[in-house]
Amino acid sequence: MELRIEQLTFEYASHPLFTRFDLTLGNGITWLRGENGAGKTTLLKLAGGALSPHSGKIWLDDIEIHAQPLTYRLHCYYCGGDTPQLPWLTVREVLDMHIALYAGADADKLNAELAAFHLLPTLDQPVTTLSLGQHKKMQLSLALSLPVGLLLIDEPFNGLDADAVAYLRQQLSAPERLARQCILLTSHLEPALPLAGTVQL
Amino acid sequence: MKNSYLHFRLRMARHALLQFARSLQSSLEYILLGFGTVLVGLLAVIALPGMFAATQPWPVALGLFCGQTLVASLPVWLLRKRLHPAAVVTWSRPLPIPARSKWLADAAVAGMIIGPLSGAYAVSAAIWLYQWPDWLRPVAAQAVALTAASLLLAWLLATLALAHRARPPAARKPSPHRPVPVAYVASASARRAAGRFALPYFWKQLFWLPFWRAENVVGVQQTLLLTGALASIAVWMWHPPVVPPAIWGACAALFTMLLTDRGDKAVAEQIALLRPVAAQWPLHAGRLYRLAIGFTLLPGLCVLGWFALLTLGRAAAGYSHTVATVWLCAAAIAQLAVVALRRLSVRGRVGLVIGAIVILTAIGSELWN
Repeated sequence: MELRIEQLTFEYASHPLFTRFDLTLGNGITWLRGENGAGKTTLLKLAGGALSPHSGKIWLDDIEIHAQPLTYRLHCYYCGGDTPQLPWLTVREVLDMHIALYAGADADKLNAELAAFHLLPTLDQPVTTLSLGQHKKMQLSLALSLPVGLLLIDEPFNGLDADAVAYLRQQLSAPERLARQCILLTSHLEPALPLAGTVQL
Repeated sequence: MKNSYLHFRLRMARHALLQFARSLQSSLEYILLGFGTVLVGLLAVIALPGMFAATQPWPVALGLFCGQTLVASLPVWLLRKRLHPAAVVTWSRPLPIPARSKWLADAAVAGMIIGPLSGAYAVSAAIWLYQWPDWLRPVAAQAVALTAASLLLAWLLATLALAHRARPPAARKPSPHRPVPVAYVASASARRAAGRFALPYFWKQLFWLPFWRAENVVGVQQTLLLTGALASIAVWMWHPPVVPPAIWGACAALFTMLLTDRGDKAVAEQIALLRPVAAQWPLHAGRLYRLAIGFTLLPGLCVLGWFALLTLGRAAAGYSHTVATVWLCAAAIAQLAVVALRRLSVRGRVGLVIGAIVILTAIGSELWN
């Protein structure tokens, strides 16, 4: 999968963040670096479709985000934010929603990721009762199991325990994943992963 | 520093009350215009039940006294979430605030509402004392004492309601009968939604469940409004001789219009909440939102169906089929207008709802003539 950003312009309340910004990424992991407020999370949201650029185009192979929005979103998953987006649901219901949203999602694979992150006992809890680390693990379980070509992960190691960090590194470094997925992640610390490239904002 | 918590709570409550008053501004304009004299009349008699209790035997007097106390404390209970928002309760829980300061703040905040309300009671009591009716003369002192006591008790109840809200929630004991999950299996409805029946599933998860869970009261509110509308229509058609049927017609119009208006408002707020989240999902969000907006008509449709069944579904016995048909058509148009005219200003929307209630009440008053 190739992520191509062309002539992207975006600003927050007259504070320009990206002006005619270009970026092309292929399969493998790209580390997005920059100080607080540089626009790392915003770029992930723009690439994930959660924000709309003022101008410019974003392509995933030959799928343009505005021309084929549903097809585009079907091929990407944005894993970010530390607060539950649907606070009235239980963990199981949030997972069910994603199984229903992403055609071809494999519930067995998701179950394996949840087991690896020790999240299975929390399935029937309201999603608001999860700790920061558990919430991150739930999102990462989805990120690792959904059949998408573009993974956008904001601060993947935030709040994770040592075992979970080790497991995540192992999963993200898997050669077959690196060969089929374009992974863009932000991290303030060295991610200690096999990087295809680094982008400094 | 000593009273900083008290000042903070008072400022927050004042801000919340101003916000609430602003949200009611459009409705109040129409209500004062149409029902101003009724409100003045209500203000004049507000203290009557408590004062009248002094003339009654003690079981009736106790009932009236308790009723007045509950009515006086009700505004604080209804506004408790605005006066002490959940986020502030959670944030302030670990702070080293002495229990005395918390009680003082709750009492002061409750007093911000009970105080002006007591003023209204005082005006009403003064009117009755000035009029000096025969029944009041032998019990005037007791009547004033009872009114004052019920207001003091209402203040205490309101303070307790606010204090109860700030209490940390009790830890829920895990049920011994409920096993800890050991594996995730996608639910049948989610698997079906991944195939063909996506929109009804997403509607349930995103527009039904949130209205019944956590602190959201929309589900209960809509159930009460629907029950009120159905019951009003049933009593209207039964037309017991005690109350004029037109009153039940007015209640039916009020409940029916509020049912759709409040439901549509809740769905609009939920759509605004979901928009940024759903923007990243591979989902036809527009279709889902249209479905949710369309579904807000269903409760109103049930009410109209119930009315049609009770009027047009049987031979007319003293009421007019023509008036029933006109009422049904007018109600259906009003329901559609509430849902379809989404770009209407707040003032315009309030005007539409109140106008529809008045028109339906006027048409309905002819049903039994």
